[in-house]
Amino acid sequence: MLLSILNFLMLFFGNIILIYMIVVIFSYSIMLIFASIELRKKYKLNRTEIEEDYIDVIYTKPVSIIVPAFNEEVGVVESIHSLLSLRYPLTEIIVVNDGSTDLTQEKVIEQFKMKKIEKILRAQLPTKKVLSVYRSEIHPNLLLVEKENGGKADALNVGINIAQYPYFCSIDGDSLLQEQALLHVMKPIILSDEEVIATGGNIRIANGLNVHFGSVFESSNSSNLLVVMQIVEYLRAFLLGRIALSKLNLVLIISGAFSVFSKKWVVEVGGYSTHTIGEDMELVVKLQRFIKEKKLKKRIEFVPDPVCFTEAPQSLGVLRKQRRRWHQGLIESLWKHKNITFNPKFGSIGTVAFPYFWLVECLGPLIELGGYIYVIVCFFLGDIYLEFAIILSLLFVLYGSLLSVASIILEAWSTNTYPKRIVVIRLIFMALTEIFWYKPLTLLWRLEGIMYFLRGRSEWGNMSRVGMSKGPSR
Amino acid sequence: MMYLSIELLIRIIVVLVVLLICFGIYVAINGLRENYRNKGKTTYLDAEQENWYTYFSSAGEISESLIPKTTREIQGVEEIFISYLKNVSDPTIKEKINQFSNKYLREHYLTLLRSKKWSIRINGLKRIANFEIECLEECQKFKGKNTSKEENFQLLKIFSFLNRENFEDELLNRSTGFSEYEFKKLFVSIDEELLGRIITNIEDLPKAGQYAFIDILGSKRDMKYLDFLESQLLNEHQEIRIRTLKAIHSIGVVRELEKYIDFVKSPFWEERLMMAKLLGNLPLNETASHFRVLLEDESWWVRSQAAKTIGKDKDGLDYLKNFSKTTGDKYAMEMANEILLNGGN
Amino acid sequence: MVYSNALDTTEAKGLLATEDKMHAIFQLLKANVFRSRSTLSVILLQLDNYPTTFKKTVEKDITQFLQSRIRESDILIKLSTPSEWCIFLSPSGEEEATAFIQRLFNSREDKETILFQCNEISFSAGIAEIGNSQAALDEIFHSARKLFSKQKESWTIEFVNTYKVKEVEKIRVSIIEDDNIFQKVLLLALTKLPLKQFKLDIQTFSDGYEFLQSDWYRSSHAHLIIMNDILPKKNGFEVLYALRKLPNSKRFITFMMTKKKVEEDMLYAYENGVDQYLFKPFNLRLFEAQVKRVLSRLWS
Repeated sequence: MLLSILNFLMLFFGNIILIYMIVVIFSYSIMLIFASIELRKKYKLNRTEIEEDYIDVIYTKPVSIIVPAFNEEVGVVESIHSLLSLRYPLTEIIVVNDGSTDLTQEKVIEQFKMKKIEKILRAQLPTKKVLSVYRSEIHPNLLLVEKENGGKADALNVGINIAQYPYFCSIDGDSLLQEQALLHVMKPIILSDEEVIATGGNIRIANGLNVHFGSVFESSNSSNLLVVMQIVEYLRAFLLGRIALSKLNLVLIISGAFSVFSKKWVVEVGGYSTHTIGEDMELVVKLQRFIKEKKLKKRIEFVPDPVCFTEAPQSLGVLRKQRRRWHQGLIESLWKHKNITFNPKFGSIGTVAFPYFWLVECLGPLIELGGYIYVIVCFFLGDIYLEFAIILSLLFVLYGSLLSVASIILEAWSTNTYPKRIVVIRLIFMALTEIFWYKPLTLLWRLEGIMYFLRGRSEWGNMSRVGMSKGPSR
Repeated sequence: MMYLSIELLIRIIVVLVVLLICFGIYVAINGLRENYRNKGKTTYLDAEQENWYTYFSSAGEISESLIPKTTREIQGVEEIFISYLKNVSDPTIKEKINQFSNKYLREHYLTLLRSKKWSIRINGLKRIANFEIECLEECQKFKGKNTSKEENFQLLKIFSFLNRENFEDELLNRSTGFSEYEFKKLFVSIDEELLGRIITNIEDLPKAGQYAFIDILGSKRDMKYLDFLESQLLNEHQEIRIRTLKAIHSIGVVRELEKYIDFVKSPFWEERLMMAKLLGNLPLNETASHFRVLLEDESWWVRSQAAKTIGKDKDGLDYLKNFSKTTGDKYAMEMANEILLNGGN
Repeated sequence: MVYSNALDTTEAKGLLATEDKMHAIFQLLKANVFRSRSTLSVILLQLDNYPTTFKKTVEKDITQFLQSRIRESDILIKLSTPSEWCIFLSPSGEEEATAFIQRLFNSREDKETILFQCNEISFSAGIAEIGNSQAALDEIFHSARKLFSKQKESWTIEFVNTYKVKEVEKIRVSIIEDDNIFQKVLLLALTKLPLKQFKLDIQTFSDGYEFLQSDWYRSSHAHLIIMNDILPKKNGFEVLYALRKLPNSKRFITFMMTKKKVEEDMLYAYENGVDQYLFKPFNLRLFEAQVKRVLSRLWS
């Protein structure tokens, strides 16, 4: 009796896991094919232009760049340098010091010779109090805003209030941009006659790259295994998701590390929410929701060009915190807008994107972790389960390793970010080991995120501060 | 679940692994070839750069060594030409580039045009447009319908010098789906005569084209377009009126203030905003009364712009001082004071 | 002797120095020639004939007359050799000195000038423009006297050209441009630029940081900088700012090349010391002419 119940349960879970795996592998394969077709089209396209696209003011829209900074004394100056060397005709850079307790403000003031100015703020979005505004004597378009601490979202909202241009770009204090970054992300907006209201760039990992004064040099290999693993992860996230989702206007995540928004629409939806962890994702969901509610002909796009480099965590502790936070942010955003799920009123966002994110991105870790445990249990139980265990393991290999390797090779073929052969081989090798250690770890951390979310929902206040989130959640 | 046997899975995996290995090897070889090609290009660049300079800057004949013999060398020449065209405007150099590419590169680009790959064709078209290579016949083979937007764009650029007589027709046929940006890029690259011809047919263009056209006229900063622009002030489309105001502002000449006065009280704040900019082109004593209205405008943008514009006038600060004493509007006063506190900036 | 009194009405303007200080003064002025890039003219004035009887008083009157004619920046010296005067016109070139002498000579027709009305005297003048530091006063005088001795009539002007040739000045040039091909084009254009007075010492850089890290801009040479406004690592504005902070930043001549025509940026750059804006694409011939012009203005 007991045995038959056990048998039934084992079979039942086994089938759930199996069906899940097949669905996921199937959807990822489709996205991979999608990405290959996209990349194939642009393959060998010569991008050198005489007119150096969009460099003239008459083609482009001016952009305000907002840099929220909370205790970023180490990286903030470097970051501003990288923004100053952007190739873009008209920008202003607004550094928002979110009540830092370190030398962030002093460093910026000293390095760029900032002088206090009078400025009347137009409070389109409610924020914490702004204390003072400074302007640089070296670069007249560089502003520093000092405000009371209110978290990243609040800092971004202050930046939006001060910004004078129709588009704003939010960027993390520690991410570094390529010279062409802003041109690349503005391209869809300009080319679509502003039908695209938000774009996000492709994020890469800066560790192991030689980054200096805002310029990125040749890629060498980082010796840190965790970092290499994350490189693979970022690559895969881009090829097995972003390209396809963007094409179908299903983008729900554009990384806070580098994205551009139309100010008008962001103000319309009330700016960044200050009471969420993943404020960048939440804003995108809000925008998508607004578009569908008002039946607007607007889009949100993802830009495949690698434009932004960010420092990846090098220790397990930091990485764990980051992943937990991402996952918590993801669920929060989904939960906050849960009524979109399966709601045909929201079109494909409701019927495809939301279910996909719920199932694959949010609950996926739970099932996959279950799969790991299941395989182990099966091996012990032996008998007919052994076959089951082998099938599942093979699926894991297919899903975890082969798809990763495929995306690495695809990447090497199309963009060649890592020109050295040895680096690519290393990446492939690491991708093969992923299912044995890195994958289970990230799954655990995500599970932790789910638990934090369940616990944290009743204690809003504690989460409002700090804003570390960036990068893709997958 | 037995429909998914271990054997089947292993077979799938093996097939995939083999495929991946093949693809990997292909990528690796491709990479090596690319490196080899780059090396060839660099050698050519190192060896011939100075000779190219000499050829461009003096009257001498072209030396045999400059003529590219391989694809790698063609790429090197291309790079040199593009750098020159990007940075240098000497007409003789342009002429020499044009002659050289017509003589030695034409065949290469025509082969690119025949390629089945979209990206290769685009590359060819781009260079034909850049170096102004004569190949009207080949370009006309691209039929409007099956041609992508990007191809049409490059073709129009080419027709602007190869097929001038029919340019307007081609423009109307091929510009479907163009965004404002594409129109702008196209209009920037064509000469005054063609621009003048488009003025007469402007109504036939899609809205994006009309907007772009007006913007480009503004950027030319040429008084001769004022007649046309002023006529557009009465256009029924709000966006066209706003663009027109903007273009006239960038030309910087307001001939008859009466034509514009109504915009100060326009129901659209964007038009009032443009007026707050445009009035800066006239002396403050002529415009003072209108600025008073704009400073007390209900829109923040209009107030802010009005104060900024006045701040730039030499008597502006006095005006603002006086204004902030006499106005009853709190917001307007605030705005005037911001400009005063920053000393006009 | 009436004319002595009459002469007193014209005030003395320039400095009258004694012959023992002459060489020291000349050394000083000569050193300035190079520093300030402005030429110095030495004039030797010789009396051809004069009434022997009143020799002493006439010489004194002439000295007084000459002193009244020179500018405040000029120096007059009565040489111990009889009837010779030396004048340093600083800063002045040959042309200015000739004009000065011509005015002086012309005043013999002038009824107001009592000196020439009362005395039957005539002059010869030798002018030497000093452009390099090799110049020696004695050599100049010697050549002038030799020329005087050959001449047939008075009131003539002789030129001593021995030291006119300006010393070739080394000018440092930095090209900061990230397009390698165009960097080379600029380098070639400047290398082949025909310049007489200057020798260009050119270095190229691909980004602002590389330039600022080098010691290249720290010398006291005049330094021509041709750079892009947008550069990797440190952009043109930052380079500009770093240079303006240096002592003696006036020695930098800055050409800013740009592709984006943003007026605010340009205004700002001009205010912060950019001398010339070049809009890409620009005409190379025009660029060369601009460089020549800017360099020629270094010598006044």
